[in-house]
Amino acid sequence: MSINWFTLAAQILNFLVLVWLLKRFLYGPIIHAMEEREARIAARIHEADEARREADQQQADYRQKMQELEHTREQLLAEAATDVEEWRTQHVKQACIEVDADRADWYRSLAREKASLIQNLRLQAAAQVQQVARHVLAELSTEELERQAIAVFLTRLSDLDPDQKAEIALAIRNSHHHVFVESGFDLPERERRRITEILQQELTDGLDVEFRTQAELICGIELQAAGYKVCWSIREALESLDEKFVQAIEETMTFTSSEGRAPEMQGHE
Amino acid sequence: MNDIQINPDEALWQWGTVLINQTLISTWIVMILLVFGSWLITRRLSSGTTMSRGQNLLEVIVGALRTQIREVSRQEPGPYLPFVGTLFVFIAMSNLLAIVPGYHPPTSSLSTTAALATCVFIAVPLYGIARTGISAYARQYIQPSIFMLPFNIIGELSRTLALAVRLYGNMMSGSVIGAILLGFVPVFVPIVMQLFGLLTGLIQAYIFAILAMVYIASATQAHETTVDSPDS
Repeated sequence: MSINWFTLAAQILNFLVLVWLLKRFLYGPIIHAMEEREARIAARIHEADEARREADQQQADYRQKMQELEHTREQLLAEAATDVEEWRTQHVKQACIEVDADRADWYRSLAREKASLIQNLRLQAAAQVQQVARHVLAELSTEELERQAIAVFLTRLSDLDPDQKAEIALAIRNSHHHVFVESGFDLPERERRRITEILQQELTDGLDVEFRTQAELICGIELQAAGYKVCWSIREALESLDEKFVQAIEETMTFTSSEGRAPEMQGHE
Repeated sequence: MNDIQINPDEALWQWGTVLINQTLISTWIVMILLVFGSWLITRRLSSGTTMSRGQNLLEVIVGALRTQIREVSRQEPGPYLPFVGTLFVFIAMSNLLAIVPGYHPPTSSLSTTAALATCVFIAVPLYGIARTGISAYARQYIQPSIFMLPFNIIGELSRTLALAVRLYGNMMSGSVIGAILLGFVPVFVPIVMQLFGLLTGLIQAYIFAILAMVYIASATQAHETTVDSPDS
């Protein structure tokens, strides 16, 4: 256990040389390679982090876009539903209006047809009644009845208001004193003279009376002078009956039409 | 028993004070192996993920050394790696080659271990002064009071001596015990002792390097504590 001082010095020198050599050939290159690798790995990790961050950002962007698209889709669907509902409501309303109009037209058409039918019925009934009455009265007319008709005619003439008589007389005079007396039967000469006398007595003198026979008057007698007419006849009674008959039918039609409009009003409600 | 060579410093060739002995020859062999092997491996280094086995081995060794230095000193290992790393690599290689017949590890020479301990003895103040400055480094010898100066100096010398004798004693004893057992039980037992010597050699290399790093770290960190909290 002794120290050789030359060996000690030589070993110190050897060790220092070895330190320098290993630093030159071992530590330097190895540390450089390790640091380069670590830097490369760090760069890759950084790139991976950047890529992941970018991917996260893109994912967030896509998610936001998806949400926006979903929101837009829902909004469009809601708008479409609203538009469809409005369109449906509008068309239903339009259809109701058209149906109401069609129904009103149908009711009016029905009313017109009903009125036309009733008018035809009325005319046919009136004609039938007139025909029956005329036939019955024509068969029942006798000379006594004719005299009675003449008497009633003359009484009606006499019972006219004096102003009316004066007005008729003035019109007769302006028409050259020409008057017509029509009857449903042939007047005997004696009755013609008596009628002429009474006319001149009630209206004016110098009358030019022309007698004519009209079967439609049916036991009736009628004075026509310058647009004025004084008469009594079965036809007049029949025409009065006809008017009352028509009036009754029209009242019935009016009531029926008012009942027919009720559903239309209910339809509007 | 007379063939046992206890002192490998005996001159094989001498000219005046200059001599060549087994220790120097073994040291040159170790140096050549280390430098040539490093050059072979590091001339084609890869910084990618694929590398050669030799590069992988060297990176493992260097990485472990850097980690140990960082853990012991709590500093970056850059300035200390060549010195401490070379201590470990040289001692480890010297001890591992002891398994080769005819090879005498230079660490079994007190001159070699004393030389290494002297290097540590010189390196500690050099690192401390380089890092903290000469005045701050010198001030730690009079901490906590100036009366501790002799004891601190004695402590520096004694730990240097301990470094040298510890390594020398372990390696020399290993060689001697192996040689003695070879005489008594020449079969199997020397092999076990050789394997045990390999383990001991690695442990001694680790201890020597770590202790050197601890000494260097204490020299640098003592100053940092002083500078950081001068009132304390």
